Amino acid sequence: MVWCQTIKFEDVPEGDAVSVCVEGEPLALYKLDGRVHATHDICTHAKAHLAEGFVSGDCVECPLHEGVFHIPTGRPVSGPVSIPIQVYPVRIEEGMVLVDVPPSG
Amino acid sequence: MTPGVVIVGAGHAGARCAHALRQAGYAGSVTLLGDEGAEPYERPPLSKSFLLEDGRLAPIAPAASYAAAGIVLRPSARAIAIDPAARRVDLADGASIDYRHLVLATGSVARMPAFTGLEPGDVLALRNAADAARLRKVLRPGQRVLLIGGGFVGLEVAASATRLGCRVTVVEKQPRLLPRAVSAWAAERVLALHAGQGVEVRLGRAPVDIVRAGPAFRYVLDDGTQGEADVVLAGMGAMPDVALAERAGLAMNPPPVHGVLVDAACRTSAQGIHAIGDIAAPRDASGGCRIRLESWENAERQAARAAAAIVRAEQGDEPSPAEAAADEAPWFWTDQFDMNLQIVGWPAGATRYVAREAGAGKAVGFHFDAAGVLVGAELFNSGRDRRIVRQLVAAGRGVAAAELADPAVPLATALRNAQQRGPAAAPNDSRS
Repeated sequence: MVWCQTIKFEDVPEGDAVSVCVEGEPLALYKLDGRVHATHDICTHAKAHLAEGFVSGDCVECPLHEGVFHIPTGRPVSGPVSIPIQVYPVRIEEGMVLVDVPPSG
Repeated sequence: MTPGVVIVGAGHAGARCAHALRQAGYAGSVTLLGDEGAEPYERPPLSKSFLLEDGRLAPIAPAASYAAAGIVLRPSARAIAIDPAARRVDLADGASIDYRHLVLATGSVARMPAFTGLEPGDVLALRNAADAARLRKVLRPGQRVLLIGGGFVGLEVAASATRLGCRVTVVEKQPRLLPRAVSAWAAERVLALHAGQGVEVRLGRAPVDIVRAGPAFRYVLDDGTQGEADVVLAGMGAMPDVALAERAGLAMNPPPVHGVLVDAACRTSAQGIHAIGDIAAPRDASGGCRIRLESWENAERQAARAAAAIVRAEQGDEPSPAEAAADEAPWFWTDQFDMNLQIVGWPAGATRYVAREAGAGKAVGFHFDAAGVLVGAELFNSGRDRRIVRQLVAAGRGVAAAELADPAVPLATALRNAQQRGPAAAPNDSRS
């Protein structure tokens, strides 16, 4: 496991998303009921940032084509998306959000 | 093989319809006929990432998904005739296919200018992958590009060409860009964006003559201005490819809103034949069609609608012909330079607007009709607000312009207030 530091827990807005870059990968961090989740930030359908999308319940809707993903699992829920969005393990340490991003390649 | 569904046209609508049939539980055969020799691909990236980046097509569905879903994909099978009485499609190679249900999804062709001094092929356009591949070759740094017409696709290409180092001149005969599709407010912003990036935009002008001049072209505009270009590109919009449908005798809506008349289930005048996507002209209460959409979303929606209707018909549930339902507001987007513009509803026909400015290129224009009803919105770099903006447009009445214009009032609050006021209330002063 390679835990990478991202941003402070308190800087992830509740019920919303924020984008971060970890090991060169754009990620979206979400806070749902006080718990932080991480997915890849780029929609699997077309080049759009999910962190700029609309968070509703435990799903995020892509800002471009209304593809909807389940945040905790990455499962495609509706819209034109068929490929799941990559999700990453998250833990909180000393107020920081750590994300496990496997080295690419 | 027992005749099943045959889909003519493997563009967005056709490909999505094939998969939608399976998702809706259709168990018969599904044959998808295309004539581009390629697996169905996303068209929106052709004017953007395809030109700017790797030149690779983005598939609409994974290549293996067709066989996995039992869809027979024939990407090089051009249909040349339909016999509605015999329920048969004839192909260019001399073969024919019987159908039980036919879905026409033949899309559009580019509208091209006619100049006597030019050969076919001198003027380029962008409709399909082959066009985009041709453009990729000629849009080189330093090339002078003349774009005739300031429509969406053309302006997207103008932005990409500029980024590739070309010098672009846009000539639009109307006094503003995107005259039919967006409000004057949005057109102004799009114009400022292009001008700021060095695109020369000539509004209210049209070329009167274009001739070959060695490897380049020489053109004359209607104000006498002369210029030279290495690439001439048509950005004058598209015409529905309705040749097959017309020859088959299907009821058509005449120009200017030319298309195949369909009901709410995308059924045409011929038993067992549906039409979807760009060619479909939904019949409204007038008996004709006043609005035909050419958009990604329209292709998605109608593909699903036709698939559902076919499945219902198979179950013996054939609803009576209906007018196109009072639809959800349409949605459309365009990406030019770093601008993402999304359009909800019908902003072009509105009489007044308010702008909600959020800085950093983010703004939403809300457009009201004379009765104070919110009929459309234009979102600049504000995709995150799209969902709530759609709900606001769906509410229509009772939405307070002053609340929308104030960035301190959350849109959710404006929506809640509108819902509390109810559909009868119209708090907007509509005198302006």
